[in-house]
This record gives sequence, structure tokens and C-alpha cells, in this order.
Amino acid sequence: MIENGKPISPALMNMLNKQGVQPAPQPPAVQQQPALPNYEYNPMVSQTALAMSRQIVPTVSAAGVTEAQSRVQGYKNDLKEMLTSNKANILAVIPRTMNAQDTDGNGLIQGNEVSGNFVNAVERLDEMVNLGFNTQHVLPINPPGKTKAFGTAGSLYSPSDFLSIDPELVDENPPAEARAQIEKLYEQKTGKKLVKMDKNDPEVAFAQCKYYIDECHKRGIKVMLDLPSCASVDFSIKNPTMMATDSNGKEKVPQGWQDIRMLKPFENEQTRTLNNDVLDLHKKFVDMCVELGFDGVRADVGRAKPVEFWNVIINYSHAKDPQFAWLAETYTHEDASPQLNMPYDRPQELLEVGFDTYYGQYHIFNQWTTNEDLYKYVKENIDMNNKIGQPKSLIGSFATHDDYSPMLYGGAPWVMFTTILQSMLPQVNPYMVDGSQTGDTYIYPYKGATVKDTETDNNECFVHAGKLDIFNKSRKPGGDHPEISTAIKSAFALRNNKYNEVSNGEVRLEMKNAQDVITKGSFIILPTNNPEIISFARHKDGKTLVFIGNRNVNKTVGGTITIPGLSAEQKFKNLMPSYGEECKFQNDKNGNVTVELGASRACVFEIDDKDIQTLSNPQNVLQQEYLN
Amino acid sequence: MNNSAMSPLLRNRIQSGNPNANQNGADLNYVYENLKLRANEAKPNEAKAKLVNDNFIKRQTDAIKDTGKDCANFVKAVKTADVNDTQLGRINDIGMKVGAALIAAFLALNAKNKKTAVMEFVGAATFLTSMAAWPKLFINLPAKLVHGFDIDKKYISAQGEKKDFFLDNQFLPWDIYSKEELTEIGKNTGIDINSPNGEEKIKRKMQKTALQNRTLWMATAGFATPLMTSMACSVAEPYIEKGIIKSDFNKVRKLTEANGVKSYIDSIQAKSGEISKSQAELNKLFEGHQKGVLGENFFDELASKLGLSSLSQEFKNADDLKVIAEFESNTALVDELKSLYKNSASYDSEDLLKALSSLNVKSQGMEALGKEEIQALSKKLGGGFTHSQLVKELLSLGCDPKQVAKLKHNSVNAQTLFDILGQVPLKSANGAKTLTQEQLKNMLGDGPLTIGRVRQLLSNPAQFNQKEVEQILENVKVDNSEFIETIKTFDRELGANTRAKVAKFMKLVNPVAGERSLSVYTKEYMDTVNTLFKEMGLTDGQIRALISENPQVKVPEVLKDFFKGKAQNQGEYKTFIEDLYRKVQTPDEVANVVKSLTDNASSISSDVAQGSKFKGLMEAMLGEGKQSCSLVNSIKSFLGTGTTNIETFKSKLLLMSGLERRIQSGELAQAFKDNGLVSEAFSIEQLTKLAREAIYSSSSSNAANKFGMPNAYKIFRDIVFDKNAYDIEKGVSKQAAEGIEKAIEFMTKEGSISKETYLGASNFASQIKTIARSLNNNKIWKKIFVTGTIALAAVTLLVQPLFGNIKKEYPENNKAGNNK
Repeated sequence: MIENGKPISPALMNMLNKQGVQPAPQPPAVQQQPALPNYEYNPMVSQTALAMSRQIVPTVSAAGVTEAQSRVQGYKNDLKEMLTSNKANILAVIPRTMNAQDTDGNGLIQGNEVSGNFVNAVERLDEMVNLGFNTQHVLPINPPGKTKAFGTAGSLYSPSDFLSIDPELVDENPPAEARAQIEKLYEQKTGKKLVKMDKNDPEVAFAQCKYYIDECHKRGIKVMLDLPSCASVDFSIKNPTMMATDSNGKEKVPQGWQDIRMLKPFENEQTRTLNNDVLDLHKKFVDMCVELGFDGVRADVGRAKPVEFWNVIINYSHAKDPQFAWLAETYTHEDASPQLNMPYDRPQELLEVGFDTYYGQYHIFNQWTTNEDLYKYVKENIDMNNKIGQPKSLIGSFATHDDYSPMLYGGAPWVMFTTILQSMLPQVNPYMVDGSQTGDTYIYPYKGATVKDTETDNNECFVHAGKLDIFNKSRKPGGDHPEISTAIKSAFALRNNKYNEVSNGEVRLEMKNAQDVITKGSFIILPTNNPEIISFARHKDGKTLVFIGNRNVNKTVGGTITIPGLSAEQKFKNLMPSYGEECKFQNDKNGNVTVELGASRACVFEIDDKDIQTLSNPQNVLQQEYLN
Repeated sequence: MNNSAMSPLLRNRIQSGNPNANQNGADLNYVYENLKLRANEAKPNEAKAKLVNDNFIKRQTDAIKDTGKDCANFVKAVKTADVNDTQLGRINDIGMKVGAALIAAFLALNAKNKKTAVMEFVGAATFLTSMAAWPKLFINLPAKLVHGFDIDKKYISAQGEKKDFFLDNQFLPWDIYSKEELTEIGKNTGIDINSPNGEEKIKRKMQKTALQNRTLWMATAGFATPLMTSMACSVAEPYIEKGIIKSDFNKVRKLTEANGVKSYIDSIQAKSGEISKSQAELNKLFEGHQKGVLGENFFDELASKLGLSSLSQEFKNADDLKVIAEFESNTALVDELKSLYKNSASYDSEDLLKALSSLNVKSQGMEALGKEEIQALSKKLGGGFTHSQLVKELLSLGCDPKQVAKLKHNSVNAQTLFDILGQVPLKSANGAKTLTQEQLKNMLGDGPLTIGRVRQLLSNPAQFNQKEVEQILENVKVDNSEFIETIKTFDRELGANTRAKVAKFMKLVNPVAGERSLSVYTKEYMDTVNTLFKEMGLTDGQIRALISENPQVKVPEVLKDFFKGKAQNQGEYKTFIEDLYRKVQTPDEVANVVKSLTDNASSISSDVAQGSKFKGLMEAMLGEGKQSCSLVNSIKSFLGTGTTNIETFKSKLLLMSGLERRIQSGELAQAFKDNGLVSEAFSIEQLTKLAREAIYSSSSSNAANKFGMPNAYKIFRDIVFDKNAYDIEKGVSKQAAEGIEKAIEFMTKEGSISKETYLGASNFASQIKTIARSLNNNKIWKKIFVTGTIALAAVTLLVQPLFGNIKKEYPENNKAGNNK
């Protein structure tokens, strides 16, 4: 026991105890960072060799990289850097549906139909690259719990084991090329030859997962794995010490989610002492991620764990991989949590403790009926970033797997509008859910149906209508609107500095580095007299891109936009694909542009206006600081 | 560095030294353990929300500020819809306040009088106040005293909005309570924060207590708010009434003190809006009655439109028929104006029945008007009918209208009735004949039917059924245009200004002498009876018996017993009546105001009498002369009557008490003896009883009948109403003396005396009953509401200690001193 920096003697302690004095709980002693291990001096080993040996890290390759990096030449994890510098274009995928083959068209994968797995998922990677995605958010791959489960496959967020992979994601009959690679990976880990692609062999699953990740890395796609915040009933039965209970000893259930149970992050919440078992479990999860080759983690319900917890886990992950990225599912500051058994949401705290990026509130963008609502939110995030003192970002959470398909709000035009918009916003990494590239409405015909074959104790095909199915083995996501993909491609090409390659020469981008303008440039609000028109500019080093869009999904709107410094001769050539109703632009010599915009139309222009930032009202100019 | 040249042996040795190091050589296990130890270097940020710590005064000022913010948010919501849920929810509060005010304003517009109008707003305000006060006084405060924390704690959210901390039981921002604050609350609730789950228990207890109290609030608010509101209103009402009466009276008083009444009246000009409005109303009235028989309703409305109906009551004493008969020309108008100045004297049907039954009415060739008809007539008219009702019934029986017209309301006697009824063409032996519409038309010939012609027809005793004629006439199109033209001419000549002056002057008169409106006199009546009841010390049961319809219990008996008791001790008696009268004394200023108004009533004069087609009528209406039915005289009479009524009302108390004093002292018995009234037929007790009847019951006819001797009744009356025998009572004050003298003068007038004319006050007993009934109702309601409120408050307070019980949730710590 330490008091005032000095230890209390046992005698003193005894005396205090006898008098009924309880010393105040002491903060945990800070231990010195242990010195680097001294290797035993061996005169037979030359000093040169010894010096060389100290540079070797047994768990990493000779080049000083992680195992994943050693598997794929030319690959290096820079996801943390990408996210914090707003360069990630993210697609959320579910391996068990990604390339599922719904041959009978009923939406459900049954019988001999092939569900998604790590191997057939690779077939879709080129498509993603083609569109411009460079990052994946892989929803949980752990085996789902089967007891009191939702759906016939079990919820992805109800893991029965955090440290293993769902055997259903194993392809037991992969193509030859894939097989060869998988066998190699299997041997590297186990030291044994792979005889049979047995899905019940966890190492097979590991090997196939690594294969998938390597294929992603080969194509320049970074991969984040989803970390569930809670556990299944099956897990809770096996690991009672890790589960949160109420005062009656009953396990805590997050309100609305009866198939999962809360983990217990604190051993003693009063003293804020963490639960070692839960902590160790997450450490192992990180170890697993790094071993598999994941570049980062998306923490489901980030607020379910306290900052002390993340302080340990995130820093640990960075000790393993400095570029290991962290995405927090956290939305907005709450004074208290409205959800029973779930702590309050505090994004700033999570970002300060180490998360690189977070969800934010863009999922309620469709409720912001005026441009002021958007600008206010952009400012709020930039201010928070500047207050934290490190670059932090958001994802373009206009529609995540927890939200209704944007198709249901405004159809394909709305999806295109939000895609283009999030590609142009500051401090945002565009984010989409698999299926929205072609306008999936996530309406499943089997909703509520009872089936004979089920992998859980539930025969009902539970699903949230309008949201991506995470409870059943369902069809490959996708819709009937390929035009959305065209918009994605153009928008991401602009962000990735590949616009002219992709544009078919119709409109040529003059600036060389649009990526810098978008990811690092200032955000300049362009005043307009119509609150439904969203108009802003991105500017850096004399280069300017202007976004003009109509957030009204039902009608054409008109208005006047003031662009300080705009030349009367400026031509407006839309860099984005046209869709829906025509848009008209007419500028005058005073820097005003009169516009007529079709419903949900979004346009991006390159304009020659070097002085736009200096000429604008300073209150309309926002700059995210601390970017590299 | 490419160290593939390194020998496997060396590599192995190096690798086996530290298999878990990262690229910097740090051992990851060490790193992890170190991180665990340093986990608490990261701490949650301070909450952005803050508790509101304020005092009572700040809370009130904040409430006003918050209302201002709510108004601003409302405007914002309407303009831009840019408000959140909390702001939107709070807008409901404005809606409630504004809505309450608007409802009160609407009800006030339709209120009968000012007091009712003001009480609408008082009711709205007290309702809203009760809604806020009930939880604060009976729930929050006791909860704080019992449980040691404020269940109504407010906080400012991260978004800058003020909210209730415990509003949503599932949304409690606990981190804004500091540990010190929770420790203090724990001490108050008996939970040691350092005990296992101590903090959690404290929070749980607070949460549960708040939830239970808020539930209690919801359960009781529906009862408590109306109870508190009604109690507050019933407490406020008499003060408001007093305030309104005083305020209205003061306005009039100031005018009279400044001698401004005349100039005020002279300055009155009917506004063009008023003129056109009244013209429009008259036109509307006439349009609706161009054809058809003009009934009583028409003339009621006409009188109202001409601004004369408020004085109709005053004409009951006027010999209007005689006056009107002196006017020249237009008998149609004359006839109809009879209805305009309605008499409202009422007869005692019992008297009438007795008078008629003593006659055996026979007429040539007609059957006798038997008892059945008379009884039917009496039954139909009920116990108290107006002169006009009697006239109508007589007409319907076929009496000669001219004869009926001669019927003076205060001179119905057996002989007159006989004369009239003798003319009734009742069912003849030949049977009644009826006229068809065709026959009637032929009889009347061409030309428009006017009321005058119809009346002429009726005045001729024809052998047809009067009722059927009336019915036929109703169906016949009667052209009233000539009559209406006459009325229009009269109205023009009367002038809008004159009518406006009458109306405005009555607005000065009503606060003093008005009966229906809140007036000084009405208040005095109430105060007098109130004082009397207090003096009498009547129990609730006695008051209820007093006002019940139980014939065994009569007001006079109760009053008699009271005054009898007071008169027993002659020494204390004078003090008692002086005290009583002092309490009910009319202030001099009231008398001064009445005098001033009376003096200035003449200011309402007609400038159009000269050259008017209705010169005589105008002069009679607006002049002061001999014409007792004139408007001016009526106003004076109205004022005077009010004064008289009040004073004689109070004087009656003195007469009653004086009588009892005389009885107790033996003076009265001696006076009876001295005047030879005591005989075998009339003992002193019987005479005393009759004397009491005369004073208490306001009737002398029984006595008159009983005596049988012509002079004996007079002697009896002079003894009972001996003006010299009430010197003690008259000595109380000048007004008392005047009042008693007047009362005695009334009683000693020749002729039969009705209850109404006795003392000039309407039925004393019924007035007492009316006021007592009102007082009793107030008492009953107060009892119910006070009892209800006390019961509800008691229940609310008693359940408080039962709240916040967390024993079941934390059974392992269910020990004394650990938790409650």
C-alpha cells in the first residue's frame, strides 16, 4: 500500500485497521516500463551478429512488417493514416451473403444453394476496386449463437466465440488456385499439410480468411473487422464472469436485442477497475485480427466499453501494428443513454482515447431539411477535431446496416445524391453498405416466414424490413439501378485522383490533385437564398471544387448562390454523371449563380477561383486542422 | 536488413529469446500488462450537462425567462420548423396558457356580469397555478424532507436546454451528480456510498423515489388541481366581487362628487355605430313582424330595443292606463303600449279564489261561472301571476277588452270581477259559433287588417269562441305595416341620443341600486343576512332546515326564536341591536350618491317633445310632472325604491327585535289590555301571536278577518305599529328611525295590504331564504372541497415514506442502517 508516494508499513496498517480507519483506495501503482531484455552474453556470437539480431522481431518479417504484410508483397497497412486523412472509401460487406447464390430467387439461401464464403467473396473484389472502394468493413465473422437467436442463421452481432470464425464461411470446395494458397497458409500456421477443407477445423477457417484478406490487400483494399459489443446467450452461459448482471443477478440485455447479453467491462465500477477476463478476451481478439491480417477494427457500440478499456486495447493494438485503425460506432453526445442497459454515447471521449474515426450523425441527414443543419454539423465536427488536437474523421454514415435503405427515402437519385455529397464533405470517409451500389431496398420476401431448416433454435426468418439482413443466410445484396455505380465510380475517382481515367473524356478535370482539395481543403459555405440547396466549395492551394445539390427528393428547386470571386465567364461543367431532371446554371458578373436543380440532383464543378477563400465571409470558411 | 545469411542456429537462438516482441523489440506481454495498470490514465470527460442550483426567487424569474424562450421557439417552429423535441414539448405549455386565457376571454365575453367575467380569468390563473403548486408543495417538498434530495431537480443539457433530471426514468444523466453530492444524499437516505454497490443503491433509490413520486403526481393531479382551483376561487370570489362593486361604485361616486353627472349625461351622444346598430335591430324586428299577430314577445323586444324595458318594473305602481288614455290619436299605439309598460304586480291566487267563490256569478242566458272554472283559472295562473297574464286569460274567456282595460292591477275586487265576468259570452245554450277564415274576411272587408281592427272585432261580444277567433287570426295575414310605421316615427322622435342617455344613465344607477347586477344594494342585502346569520349562530343543520321546503320550518319562526332570546335580557338588548345595526349600516356616501343621481335624473330630457306627433307621450315619458309613469320619475323611483328597500329591510329587523322586547317586558300585553282588546275570544297569547304574524309574516289580512269588529283591527294595528313604542330601536341611528317610521306608515295605511307593499320590500322570508340558500351552498361546497383537498393532501403525504424501497432489489444488504 502506498501513501503519499511511500509504502505504508504493515505495523501502521495494523494500527489503522484496529482503529477502524480504512485508507482510501490507492491508485494502481505505476510500474516502470521494463527494460529491454538483455540477451545472455555468448562469446561465440560476434558483436556484429548480435547487433543484427536485435533488429529482428521473430513475429514479423525481416522488413519490419506484420505477418499480413509479409504475405503480400507491396502491401503495407496504412489504414489509420487513410482514415484520419479522409482517404478511405469504405464498403460494408457480410461475407456470408457477399456472393451468395440465390438460385430460386426467394431471397433465402437454403438447401443446395451456395451461401457467401471467403473464397467466393474474392470474385467481387475487382468490382469493388473498379468502383473505387479501397476499404472494407467486414461485419462480424464469428460463429453466431444458436440459443434464443434471432433469425435462422443467428445474428452476426451475437457471437458464441470471439476468437473463432464461423465455419459457414468456409468453402469446402474452393477452386484450385485458391486451394493452393489456402493450403500454404494453413501449413505456415500449423506446420501440417492440409488434407481436407473441413469447415469444422478452425484453422481451415483461419486460412481461408487470410486468403481473402490477402486478395483484398493485393488489390489495394484495406480490411476492417467488426468487433461485436455483446455476446450470445451461448457465450454468456460458458463465460459468466464476463457478463454484466443487475443487482438480482440477472444478465443485462440491451434494450431491444433479446438475443444478446452485455459484457461486463468493469470488475468494480465504483473504482473503475476493469474486468481482466473481458480485457484479455479483447486482447486476444486484436491478436487474432493482426494475425489474420486485418488492418483495423470497427467497434460495434463503442460506448459499451469505457474509455479505460479502449485505452488499453487500442494502445495494445498500436504496439502490435502502429497503423491498426479503429472505427467507433458512436453517434452524438448524450447526457444519458436512452437505451436500457447501455451506457451513454460520448464520441469525443472515444476519439480522444484512440479511435481514429467515428460514425457521426449523417444517418439522420434525411431529417435535416435545410442546408444550415448540414453546415452546422460539419462545423461541429471540425471544431471537435480542432479541439482534440489530432486529425479525426467520420464515415459517411448516410446509410449503415442499421439504417433503412436510402432507396426507400428517395430512390436511386437520393442514393446518388448522398454518394456524391459524402464524397465531397470534409472530414468524411465515404461509406456504403453492400447492395446500395445498385440500389438494394433490402426488402426480403421471406420476412417473418417460418422455415423447417434452421441453424438456430428459431425457425422464423426474423429480419428488419428495409435493412440489410444480418440474421439469415440471404441473397447477394444488389438492386436494379446500375446508374448508382456510375455515380460512385465518378465520385471516388475524383477522390482518388483518377477522374480523367474514368470520365470517358466528356468532362476533363484540370487540377492535378483533387484528392488533396477534398481531403485536406477548406470547406467554404456558399450562401444561397433557398435553404434546400446545399452549396459549398472545397479549396486548397488555389484549386476549387464546388458542390451544388438539391436535397428535396420530390421537386425541382431554384435559387441564387453567391460564389465570391466567381468569374462571369466561368463555365459550369458537371463532373458527376447526370441523372433525373436537368439542372441549369446561369452566372452573372457579381459572383452569383442562378440555379435550377432537379430533385435530388448533385453536381460538382471545378471552377477557376483562386481567391474564393479570402473573399468569403470568414464565418463561412471552415478548416480541419492537424492534417498531415 | 536481409539477414538470410544468418545461420539457422543463430537465428533460432535469437528468436527463442523473445518470441513476443514487436518491431521495436518491446515485449508485447509487458506492454499489455503495463497498459492495464495505466488504464485509468484515461478518464471520461466531465459531463457537459450541469445541474441547476437555484433558489425560489430565481426559479420564478427563470420561469418567466423560460416562457419567453418558449415563445421565441414557437415563432422559430412556425417559421423554420427548426426546433427539437424538448423545445416542441415545451411549446405545449404556451398553448395551455394562451388557450386558457382565450377560453377565459371567450367565456368572459358571454358572462352575465363583471364578476363572472373576472372570475373566468381568476379561474384560469388559479388552475394553472394549482397545476404548478400542487406537486411543488405536496409532493416535491415532502419528498425532499423525507428522502433528502430534490425530485424536481433541473439540469442544463449539453445542448443548453433546461430539463427535469428525473423526467425520463430511463434517461438519467448520473454523471452530472458529483460523488460528494451522491454521498450527501446517501447519508440522508441511510446508504453508505462506500458500501458494496453503494453508489448504485443510492442512484437506484433516487430513481425509484422520483418515479414513484411522479406517478403519484400524475395520479393526484386530476383531483388536486380542480380542488385547489375551486378553493382558491371561492376564497377570491368575495374579494373580487367586493372589488368590482367598489370600483364601479367609485366611478359613479367620483362623477357625483365632481358634480359631473349632468354634464356627463348632456355630453352623451349616441355613436353612429350604436345608432345604426339599433336601427338595424329595430328594422330586423319589424321585418319579422310585418305580418301576423303581434304578441307579447314582440313588445318585450320592442321595449328592449327602445331602451325602456329596464324600467318596466317601475311602472307597476304607475297609473299608466289612465295616462295613456289621455293621449290623442292612434289608439293602436295606445293599445299596444299598454303591453309595453307591463305591470308585474302579482296576486295571491288564494285571495282571488276566495273572493270569487263567495260570488255566485250569473248572467242572462248564461251558465254560472262555477267553482270549477274559477279553480281552473286559479290553477292555471298559479300562485302569483302578473296583471298581463290575468288580462290575457280574461280576454281568452271572452271578456270585454274595454272592461278588462279598466282593470287596475291594484284594484281587483270581487265587484269588478263580477262586472267583467258578467259580460262573458260563454257557452250559450245554442252552442258556440265559430267563424271561418272566409267569413272573417267577409266581415272585415277589404283592406289590411290592423291590430286595432282586430281588437275592435273582439270588443264586440259575438257569439263565437274567442279562442278560435284568436287561432284564426293567427293564420290570417295581418298587415302591421301601419303600426310599425307609427312605432318607427315614435322611435325617430324619441331619438337615439335620448335612448343612449337613458342607457348610459342606467349604467350609473345599476352599480348602486341594480338588483340583477352587482350593486351596492345587492351586496348590502347579502351582508345584512350574512351578519344576521352569524349573530344568530345558526348551525349548518338549522340553516339547511331554514331553506328547505319543509313547511314545519319557517323563516319567521327562526327569526322569532332568535330575537326572543336576545330580548330576554333587557340590559344587554340595546347593546345588541346597536351592534347589529352598526354592522349593517349603509354608508353615508351611498346615500349621497343616490341623492346626486336622483337630482340629476332630470337631465334626461327630450328636445323633441315640441312639434312631436307624440307630444303628450313624450312629455309623459321624459318629463317630471304629474305623470307618474314618466321615465324620469321611474328612474327616481328606481333609485328611491332601492334605498327604501334596503333601509326597510334592515328596519324590519329592528321592528322584529322591538316587538320581542315589548313582549318580553310585558309592554305589549299591557297595551292590549289598556285598549280593551283582551277578551274571551282573544287572549293575550292569541293577540301576541297575531302581532307576531303581522310583523314576521308581513300580512294583516288574517288579523282583519279574525277580529270581526270594524275598529278592533285598527286598534290592534295601531298598538302593534305604535311609532312611539320603538324609540329604543329608532335610537340606533337616523336611518333606523326613518326606516321604522316608514314601515309603520305602510302598515297603518288604509286598505288591504299585500306582502309586497309591506315595507316596500319584496317577500322578506323568500329573500332570506334565497340568500341563505346561496350561503349554504357555498358552505357545502367549501366543506366538500376542503375535505377533499385535506384528504388528498394527507394521502399524498402519508405515502411518502413508503417510496424508494429498494430492499427487494438489494436483499443481501437488507440490514438496519444500510438502506431504507
